[in-house]
Amino acid sequence: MTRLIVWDAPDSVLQKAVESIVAGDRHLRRRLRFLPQQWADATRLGASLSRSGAPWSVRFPLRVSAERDRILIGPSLETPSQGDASAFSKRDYEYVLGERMVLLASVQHFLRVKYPACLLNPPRLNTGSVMIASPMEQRRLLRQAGFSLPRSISTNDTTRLPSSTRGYQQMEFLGMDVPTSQNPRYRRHGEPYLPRRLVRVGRMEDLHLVTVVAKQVFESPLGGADPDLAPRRVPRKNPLSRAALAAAELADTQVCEIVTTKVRQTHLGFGLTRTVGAVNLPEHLPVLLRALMRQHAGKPPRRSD
Amino acid sequence: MAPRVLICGNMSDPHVELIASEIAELGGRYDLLEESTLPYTFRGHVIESRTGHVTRSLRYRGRSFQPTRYAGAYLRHIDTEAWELPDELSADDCEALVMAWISFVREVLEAAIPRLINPMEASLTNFYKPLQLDCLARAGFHVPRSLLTCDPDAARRFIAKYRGRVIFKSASGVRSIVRLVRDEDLERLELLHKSPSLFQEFIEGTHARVHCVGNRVFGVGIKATAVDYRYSGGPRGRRAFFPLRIPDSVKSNCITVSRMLGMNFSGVDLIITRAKKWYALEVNPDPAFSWFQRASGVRISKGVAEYLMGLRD
Repeated sequence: MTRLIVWDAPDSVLQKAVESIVAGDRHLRRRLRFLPQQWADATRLGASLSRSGAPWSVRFPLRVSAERDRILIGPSLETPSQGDASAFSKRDYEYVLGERMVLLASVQHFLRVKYPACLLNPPRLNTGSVMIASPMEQRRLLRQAGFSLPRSISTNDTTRLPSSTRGYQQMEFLGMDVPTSQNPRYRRHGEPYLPRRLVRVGRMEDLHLVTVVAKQVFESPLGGADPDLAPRRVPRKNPLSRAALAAAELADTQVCEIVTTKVRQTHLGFGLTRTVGAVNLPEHLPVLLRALMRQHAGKPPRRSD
Repeated sequence: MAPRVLICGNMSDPHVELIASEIAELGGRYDLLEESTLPYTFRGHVIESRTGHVTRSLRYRGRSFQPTRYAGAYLRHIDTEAWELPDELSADDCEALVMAWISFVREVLEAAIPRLINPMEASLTNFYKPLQLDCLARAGFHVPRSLLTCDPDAARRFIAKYRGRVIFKSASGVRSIVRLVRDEDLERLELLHKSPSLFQEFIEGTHARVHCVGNRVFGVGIKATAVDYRYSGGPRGRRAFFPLRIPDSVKSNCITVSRMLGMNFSGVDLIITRAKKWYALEVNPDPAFSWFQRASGVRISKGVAEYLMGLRD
């Protein structure tokens, strides 16, 4: 019997999704585990290396079986939790958080080296990170996978902005390319210091999210979404399906989320994460986790509800 | 026409000054973007069309520059401490602004300039030393036996196994003084619960710093009395720097690991044992080469300038 382990910060959207799936079902609880990562004196994590660089041992909170276990790293693991900040000076705490993040990334990396099939979204070798921090890199991968991209403008030169910015949305400059025009930081200090990235995504209701899990592609509305609209599976022969699977493969992951805008039935891609739960609505996660379980942990029994 | 190089940094930084003077001596030209004024003087603009066509423009102090005209660019670590940011910004906002700026400057310049020292993503593994160890081993080096842990018992076992000949240091990019574990340190192992550390078997030998520039390497040897030679000058001990010939196999490993990590310029830290084995410790994406150059006489800056100008691969 195989098992899906979701490893993320406590109280993350993924934890809630896992709990909603396994609630009251002991059978499912054995096959779908949420592992909350928090720092306590009982935390035991680590990795040791031989002189040839091969990992001798990887200390993970659960005993891992190469055949049985599949691990999904959630998006909140790369955001250090600030739980015990009061025990340190600010400078010391920054150092401590840095060391903890390295330990997490190293455990993930050496788990992958030791058990190649276990991690669904291992950290990237050239950066040590699960997420792709550079939007340039995200766009390069999406284009290489066959996506067209919406027009984008990065600038801090207000004189060069288009005469009308109708149809453009402002994006977060670092990390995931998602609209952030509601972020008060940008409203207060937008001029003249802060560079902006504008992407011509059209109307908010045109925004979609394409998710790859278990070698399947799902599509769901993102902007002004109706949470009742569950992710819809995209047929395998659909060009969107092919491009999304190619993007996942190029990004060296089995799971990913791609933000798109739909223009005349064509999805223009502009943001890529190497996990699920970074952009997906919490209501949509159980559908996606169930799809992952069906592939990796055996088909779950039908629930009476 | 003389090749042009773009330098982002401050002339008061010896690395910038050395590279600028080498470029001038080699008959090239350079434009300098002063990092301390960037938020107020740098105006960049990048448009990417639906088909992938990219248009870039750059204005600095009111002058227009075309990023594509440069043979290479040297982007020194951007020292944001020198930036004069508005008082009303909170610490979090300042951090976000700084990060957005560094990312933006690189977006305007990176893909447009063929020889870049160094692309942004290449710098990221500097924050993950255990991953670098894996890459160094894949490139063909020996690496010290290592343990990264937050478990005091695991650390105790590791230290006992190597009879106390173990060093400890930070695993992230934050600089720490490398030290041998002493008896009094054993009492502090419980602190690992709060802050993990990297432990490594102590490798005794001569230190070496190999600077890789494109396909070339520049070796400097360091004989020191202290475990961490960076801190062994003056009253704390003796050290001597000297030019070091790098064997072909080591050269090949250094270039391989630099390429693996996407670096066009790197500083690989090594230890050579009495048995002539070369152990690799880490790879620096923004090496402070001027220190090694001044102390050893090895002219690393000329190699960097030649690479940036496209005179040597």
